[in-house]
Amino acid sequence: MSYQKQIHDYLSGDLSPEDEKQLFDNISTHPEWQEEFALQLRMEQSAQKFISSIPIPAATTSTIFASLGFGVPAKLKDREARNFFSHLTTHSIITVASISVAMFCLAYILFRPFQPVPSVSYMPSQTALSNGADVSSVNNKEDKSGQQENLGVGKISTKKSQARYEFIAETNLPVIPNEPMKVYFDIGKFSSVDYLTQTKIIGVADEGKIYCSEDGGKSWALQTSRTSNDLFGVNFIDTVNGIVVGARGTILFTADAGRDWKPIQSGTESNLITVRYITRDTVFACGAQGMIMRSIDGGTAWQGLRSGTTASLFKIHFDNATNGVISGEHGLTLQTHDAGASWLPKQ
Amino acid sequence: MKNIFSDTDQALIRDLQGSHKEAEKAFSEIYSRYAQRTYALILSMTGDSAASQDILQEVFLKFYNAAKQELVFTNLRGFILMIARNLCLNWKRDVSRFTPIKDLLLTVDEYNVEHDELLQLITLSLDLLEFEYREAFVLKYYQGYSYDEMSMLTGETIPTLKNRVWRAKEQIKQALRPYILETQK
Repeated sequence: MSYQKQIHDYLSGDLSPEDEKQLFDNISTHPEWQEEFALQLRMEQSAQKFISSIPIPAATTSTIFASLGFGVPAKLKDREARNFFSHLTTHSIITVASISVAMFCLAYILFRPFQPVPSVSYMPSQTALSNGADVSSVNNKEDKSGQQENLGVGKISTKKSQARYEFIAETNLPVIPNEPMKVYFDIGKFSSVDYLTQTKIIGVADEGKIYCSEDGGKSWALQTSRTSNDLFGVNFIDTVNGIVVGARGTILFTADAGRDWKPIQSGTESNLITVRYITRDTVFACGAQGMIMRSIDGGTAWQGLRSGTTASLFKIHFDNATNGVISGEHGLTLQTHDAGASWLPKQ
Repeated sequence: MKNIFSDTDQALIRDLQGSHKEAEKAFSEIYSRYAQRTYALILSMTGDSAASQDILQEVFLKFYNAAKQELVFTNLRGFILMIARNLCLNWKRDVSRFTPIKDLLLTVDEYNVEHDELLQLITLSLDLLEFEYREAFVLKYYQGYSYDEMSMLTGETIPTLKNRVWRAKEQIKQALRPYILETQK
């Protein structure tokens, strides 16, 4: 297999751990492998921006709605207005941005250190977080690396404003020489976060965004989730194995601390709000329209369970592998005494 | 943050069959969820801005009529994209060859906030690909689909789709090589 194909397979998540190690050994010693890796990575990152770069012409939206006898809703008009202003803004800031980039590139050329091994690390250009709880759900702040210190529930937050943070991916292998890759994204609110260690945190948010912090929440890096569905819940059983759930039945599974998130077929279109490991093998998820799902193989195969309700379900708690409760809207509490096989309202 | 307890797709489809007001609200929500992704798919597969706008209109009219007839479909996003794909295939059949992709390139160039030159070149290179390879690349990298989803949408096997994605990527890289060499001088 060619090295180009090996790199492609790695980026597609199709390479075995043994082959991955071999691949990175080769990347560290072969410049042509390094260039190929940087090129493929850059291509994928650029392609991901495509959808957001293609707004629908306002006239087309108006025509569609008019042909059905509907009015164009305000939120779509707002979106069109934003596109218009972002278009204006683009041209107005390009001049300033170009000068800044030119100066940055010059400094980069003059002062960049020699780095024989390609590394892509995300470093915030500013400290991103402010205090103040602004998280829909914070799982128990427990260290899953084996240390016993119980840290309690912590305050992890992003700013409430639509703050924009710039992250610079540093690599000595830019496709365009001397121009480091830049990744821009907005951090909104997290729907849920979970602690893998005392300082390693993974948070999920709207539009398929999964963020990881290695420094207790001071800085965050975006992980690749392969979905654009809103994400609502995250839970890790240890420092590497975790599950994320979200809108329209989204379930994602990782066995490497989020380096790769694999989509799992849930068989439901309902929004899944919370996920919780009960044991290493048994995992429950719950969500809208009374949906309760269970996996007995650690999260790769799921089945729906009868809840007897159409109310939204928010929280899962098990005292042990047999007895547990799920709470939902309107004060509803469901309980099970047979490991989730049947659920009845708590009297 | 968006209300996470908003209606599911199935609830919205039920509302489409209700009163005019309910249908209008439901259609608006469905359009908000899926129109941009659908339009991006159509534009990237046809490369023709005017044709893409026509196809998008037809997609949502066909979808609306199907929903009003109470046809059963469980995967709304997949259903809409399936309509879009079929209409793109019809469009392709009706034109003798692909029109130049300049419309798509202009659109990307005009609106792309980050002014990603590589994205523009990749998009330009799509015009060099056979339809099957172009579709595979677009679904995988532009739309972010898993191979399972791509298989459901296209009816092709996963190994076939993986092979097409790989070959498409290689062809695009070949097309980009002069640019890469130029920037390395």
